[in-house]
Amino acid sequence: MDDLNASQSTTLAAGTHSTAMNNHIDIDWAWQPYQPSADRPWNHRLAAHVFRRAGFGVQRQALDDAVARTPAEVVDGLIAVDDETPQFRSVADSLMQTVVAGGDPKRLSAAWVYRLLFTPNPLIEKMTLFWHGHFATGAEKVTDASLNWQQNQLFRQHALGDFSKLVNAISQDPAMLIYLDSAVNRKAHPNENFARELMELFCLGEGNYSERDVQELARCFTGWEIKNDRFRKNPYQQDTREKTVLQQAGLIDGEDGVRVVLEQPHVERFLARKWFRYFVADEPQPADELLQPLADCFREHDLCVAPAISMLLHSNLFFSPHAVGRRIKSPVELIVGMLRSLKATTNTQVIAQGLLSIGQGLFYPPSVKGWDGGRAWINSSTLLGRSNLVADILKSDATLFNQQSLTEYLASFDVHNSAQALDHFEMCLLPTPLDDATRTQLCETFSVGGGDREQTLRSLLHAFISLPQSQLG
Amino acid sequence: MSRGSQLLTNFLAATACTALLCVGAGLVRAEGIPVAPPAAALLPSSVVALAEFPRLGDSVETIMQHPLRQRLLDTPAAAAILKSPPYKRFQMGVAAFEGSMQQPWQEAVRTLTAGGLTIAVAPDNGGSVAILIQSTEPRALEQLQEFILGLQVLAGKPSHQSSYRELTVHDVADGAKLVVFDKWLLLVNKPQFGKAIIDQYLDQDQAALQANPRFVQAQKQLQSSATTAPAAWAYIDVEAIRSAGLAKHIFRERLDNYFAELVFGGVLSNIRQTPFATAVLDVKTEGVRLQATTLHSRQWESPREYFFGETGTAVAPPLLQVDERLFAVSTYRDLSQMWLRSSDLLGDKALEQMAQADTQLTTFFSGLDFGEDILGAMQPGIQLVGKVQSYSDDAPVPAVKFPSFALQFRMKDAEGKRSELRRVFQSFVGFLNVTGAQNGQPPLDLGTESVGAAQLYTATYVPNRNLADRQQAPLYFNFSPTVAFVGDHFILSSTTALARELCRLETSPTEESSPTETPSAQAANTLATVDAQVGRLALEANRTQLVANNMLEKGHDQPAAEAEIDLLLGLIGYFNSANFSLDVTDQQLQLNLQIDVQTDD
Repeated sequence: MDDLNASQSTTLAAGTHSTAMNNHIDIDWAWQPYQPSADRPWNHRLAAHVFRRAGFGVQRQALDDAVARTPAEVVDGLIAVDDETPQFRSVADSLMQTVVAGGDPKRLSAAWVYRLLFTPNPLIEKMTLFWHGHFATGAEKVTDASLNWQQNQLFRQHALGDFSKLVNAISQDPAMLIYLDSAVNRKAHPNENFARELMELFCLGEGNYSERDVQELARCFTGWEIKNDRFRKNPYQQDTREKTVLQQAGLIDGEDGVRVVLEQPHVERFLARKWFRYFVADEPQPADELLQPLADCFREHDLCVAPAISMLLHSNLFFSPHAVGRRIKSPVELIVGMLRSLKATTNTQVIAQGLLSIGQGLFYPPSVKGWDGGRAWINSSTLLGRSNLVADILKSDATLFNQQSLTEYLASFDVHNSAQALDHFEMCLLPTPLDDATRTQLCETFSVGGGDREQTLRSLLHAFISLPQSQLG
Repeated sequence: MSRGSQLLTNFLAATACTALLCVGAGLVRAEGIPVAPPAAALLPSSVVALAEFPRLGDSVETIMQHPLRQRLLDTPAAAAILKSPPYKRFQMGVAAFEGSMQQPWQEAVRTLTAGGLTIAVAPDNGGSVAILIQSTEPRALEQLQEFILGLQVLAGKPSHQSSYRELTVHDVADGAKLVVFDKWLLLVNKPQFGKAIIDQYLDQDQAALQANPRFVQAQKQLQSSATTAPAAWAYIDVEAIRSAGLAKHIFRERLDNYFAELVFGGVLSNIRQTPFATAVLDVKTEGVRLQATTLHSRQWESPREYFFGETGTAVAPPLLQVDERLFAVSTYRDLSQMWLRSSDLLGDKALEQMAQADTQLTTFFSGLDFGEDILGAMQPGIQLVGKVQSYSDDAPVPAVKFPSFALQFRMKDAEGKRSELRRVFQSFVGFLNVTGAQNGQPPLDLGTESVGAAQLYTATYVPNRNLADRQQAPLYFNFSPTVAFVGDHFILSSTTALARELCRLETSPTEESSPTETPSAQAANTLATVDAQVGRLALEANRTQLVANNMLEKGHDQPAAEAEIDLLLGLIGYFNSANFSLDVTDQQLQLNLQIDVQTDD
């Protein structure tokens, strides 16, 4: 049986931690690469965990292939940056361009959903989604679809690349500056929004800068403007006097200001903490000591993202019960994960609209802080909304599984009854085993026999995805 | 679902499909509409709607031999349907039907319906429907009955039968009753309705539909108007429906929608008065023609003179003719009169909206009264035309390509109003520039030009220097609003190119390039035409967008989306055109719709 250590799982699931996570974890062990052992075997469940976290899930066949390789090989395959085939990139980009040309930013969401569903490199998209939440910009304010798309491409281009380059690019990104009301920044009235968010939300975190630093950094960005949807520096509006930012004084301009911020040691720890929460666990908060090796790796590689993410995804910690099933799936992870894991296609506009209604509209983050994530994803309204969205998708005639019915799709895996279907769903979609009582109840309620077999299987899948357990990833 | 019930479902579906197909593509070889169709002698006079398919066998033959059928069957989509499980089940049903009838299904349909197929609706008992089939061979009807009852048994529903006046009545699905007598097969959804029909057949002493004065009058109208033997004809007792209080929203005196009143107001005012309506469906290999007729009286027209005009003068101007014309509409409407008499025509909600609009428009038009000064400057009669746009090499090409369109009016006082309308246009462009600038749009550049004796006032979007991709430009590059004055004509066009073309046609009409088409022989109140081939061109110009939309809506990959869009374009290509006219005379109001299809093999 490929289950996790059951007792360990139970203890962790009880959520009794009130102190930092590293109270229980050997830090050296945590960041060592995971080596399968008899106690901790490499199996379908762990493979599914990797693909869920480093992507949005895969179907059964890919899990079989993954188990035949080593975990390190699987992770390395996901990290490979240029894995997105030119053909797919061409189709996805031209689709996005066509949608942009239509001028409706809401349809951009659908085009991104399409990319999430079909991308051959899910880690790139997962990181693109991460950066979208990190450098949050909303289309309800930036109504020009082309600017939103340019920013999205920027995130994709730098998804696993140089963080310094990404921050420099985002500092001059029209969508970002419009969103933060910094499209016009004059020396007589420096706009502090971008300077503040650069330190608080993008690079350092709260408490690692002073109000004076905000004011001084804002002066660095004076003269930075957006005209005709393009960034430009207006030399007549630039404050060229001396400034002091984070204890560095001099004739600092905008680029210098970004460099000074990125030189701060808080940068790597701030990002390491966010990645921990994104890839490992929502709760509890890890102590700085636990994160330090990951932060050091990030800094040692000159703030290049890929090595740090690689270290994280290879680590014992990532493959341990401290990570498996320890995150609440975001709406995108839930819906795209379900569809990718069953090779399903459907109306992406319905998905895009549905994601918006349950709190994760793509291109529509709630504020510059992005999505809070974790427990904030779940309340009585969004839980019902998740179930309703899944129902809408499964009711739609446009929803097909590998271009066939769910019955035919499952039959291709030799799945012919409710119990076998549950096994299939569990392997692809659940981080922890389904308990016997729930399994029995589902099998009895959705017995595949007489009547409409397809409808019964779809109802079973709907009930399965609506389980509290299915909300964990 | 059991095999039996599936077969029953398939058979009923096949029957329904056949009936529908016959409506759409039947061909009748013979003698037109009989003075009194046989079914009318059996049906009670309470029938409010009746549709008759005189020769279903011929219709089926036409469908099976039509060149379009084979072309459709050759499409990938048809091939996929023919392989689909529902179609295979349908084939099983057909095979069972042929086995039961002991002949191919086409011949069986011909034999069974040699005397016609009639569908009748009556308001009795909460809505009664009867299907009557008259055959020349009673044995065939019995075989059909046995087939239907056999399917019921297969479906696990034992046949219940009863007797009514010595006729055996069978229960079929959902409480419907089936009975065969003489050369008739009768299927009804309400037993009482069936009894009334049987009583009439046996006694012939009750009030039958054929004695209903409105039905008799309708039959006369049908015989006089039917130019060819129809594939189907229908009769609706409008007065009975009105009296029964059915479909009240249709018979309401005032609409709450300005544009609905503008388009349908006159037709609806007729429906509120006319005793009956008839329709004839005439189908040939070349296409389908539907003609719907009601009685009309000039006394019913008030207060909608804006729609009907003075007797003999309310004639739509001819349709405008331009190259690559996508559509054209031409209609007689006195817009000024309609605007000023709106309180006699529209409901409170619409009037409230109009009052607001009137105030805003009067402000917008610099104090000119919109109804009196702007609309009142035009003679009754509107010409609308649309065509596929072509884009010059040096101008940005919008990502989504809209057809251009233009409205043409005749001015009452061309010299006096020309300056006023030009100023209104220039003010309008100024307004667009202010609102467009707020949305980051480039300004419209005003210009003037002459085409012969015509004067054009143009407005063109100036492309931004930073426009990244001139082949994927924003949608507003579809528009270059233009007004033109040529003689007493006033042209309002979405593009300068179309305005120029209309001006050229007006200033130097030749036989080859007449600006207008000859109106129909009978003066029409409204004319419209749509060219399917040009429509296909318009869609092909937006193929990329359509493919992208398909990918997003259906989750298809690009090849699948392209295949589906190409199929759609191919299907549109099988049509030639659709033409519509509304003719009004002192005696009748007649709607004509004609759809022409490609017939080349």
